[in-house]
Amino acid sequence: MVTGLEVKSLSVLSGRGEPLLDRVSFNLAQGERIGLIGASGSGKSLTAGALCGLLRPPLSARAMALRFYGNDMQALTPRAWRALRGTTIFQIFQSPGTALNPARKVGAQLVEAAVTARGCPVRDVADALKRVALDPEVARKFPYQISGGMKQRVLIAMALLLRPRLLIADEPTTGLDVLTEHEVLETLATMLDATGAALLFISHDLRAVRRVATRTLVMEAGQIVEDTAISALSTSRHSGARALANAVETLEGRC
Amino acid sequence: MLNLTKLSKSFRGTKVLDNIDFSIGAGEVVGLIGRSGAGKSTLARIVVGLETPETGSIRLDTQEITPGKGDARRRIQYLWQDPIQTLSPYLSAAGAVLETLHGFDIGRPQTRRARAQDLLASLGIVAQIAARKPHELSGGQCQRVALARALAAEPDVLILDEPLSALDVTSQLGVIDLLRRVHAKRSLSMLIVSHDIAPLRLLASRIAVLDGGQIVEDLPLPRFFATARHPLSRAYISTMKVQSDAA
Repeated sequence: MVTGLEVKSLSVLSGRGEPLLDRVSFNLAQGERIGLIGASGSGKSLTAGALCGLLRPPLSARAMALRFYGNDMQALTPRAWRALRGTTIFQIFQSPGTALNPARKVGAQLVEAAVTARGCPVRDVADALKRVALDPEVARKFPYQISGGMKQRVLIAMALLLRPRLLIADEPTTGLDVLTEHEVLETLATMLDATGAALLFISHDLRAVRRVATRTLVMEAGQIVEDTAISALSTSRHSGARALANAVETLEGRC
Repeated sequence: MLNLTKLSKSFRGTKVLDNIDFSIGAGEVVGLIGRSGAGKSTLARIVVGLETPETGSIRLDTQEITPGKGDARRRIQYLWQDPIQTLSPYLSAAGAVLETLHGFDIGRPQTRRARAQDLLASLGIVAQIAARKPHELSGGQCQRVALARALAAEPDVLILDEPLSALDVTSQLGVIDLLRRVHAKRSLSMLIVSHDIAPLRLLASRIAVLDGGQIVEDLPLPRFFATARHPLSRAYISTMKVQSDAA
């Protein structure tokens, strides 16, 4: 199994030197889909920020190793980070509106992404929209004219065009109704099948995580307290992880 | 207990509720499910007088009422979606419940403080936590305080608008357990508005589906899962199936 992402003893410190992330370690294999779950404030989004080189002072990150397909991510210059983000590591956020330019139509933004990053033919934009179950007419709309679930699918269409090797999805379905969440997760799986990208799916909702991932990391107070297959979560030695699995089992009838 | 007849409401020319007939029996727990923007919250808000319908009437028992007015204001209580914003930032948990007891003149004045403490304690809010203000409480604790405040009015009908959607799964289960205990003890009629069918499976005795301004399915819980035919009902049932199980 090829290791795509290697994270060894990653810590993030506040301006006062307090550890907000405390020696987080995990590996993500090529094409693997894992969930990162935990309560608000447990450090999930900080992990994503550190992995994308998005942390800014006073926060600081350090790690014994942070490698992506063998390349040392800690040695990257800001320019090299910009080249990596989007095309190689693609991130989807909870608020998709913040990732889209409000003053440009959806189609123009997809074309720009496709042409500048990979030189994809423009006709691929309509195809990408179809593959995420969006009407190609959406290309003619501004972001404010489409719903939150549609915006998330536009970003997934962008990922289809850019074909990243790793997709980091940070609470991408929080705030969506359960049917829209279902549709977004289905299109996400379609995109992953098509591109072979690995997935780090960050969420406080185990119900959403287990729809797209097979393995999960559980975070608590800046540390990873469990790393296991989702099917084994109910027998975890960690009481918080077991409680999560049992809650989902009670809500949905099984886990 | 509660009967809605030929209820209609439009927003900017779009009919959100279209001539709806809907009822909730005494002691019945009804789940109302639908997509975002389907009109679920509008229906709930009409029942408590926060929205005015264009047509239709509402009866409590056999009497026609003006929602939010007279005794209907006490008998029908509403639990908001966001448990933190629903509480006054200036009042402690105990103060919020006391305000309701004072407002509806329930119990003797000298016993109200103890009554508020007892009610909060029965919902898992001990005296030490009851002295805190909303910003010092978790989302789950705020939801319990809001529930205590609603129950302090000794209502006959409780309307809950997405009571679980702001909570994580473990807190959701805690509130579900609480609502089941409250229902068993008080035999309240409840209308639970939700975009998610999973909690309704544990709470409701009947599920109604709202779509395109109409109630498109309305069945007792076991029959809903076994025989619901509307595509939207089937879509909700399918969300209970986990794709990774099949993978």
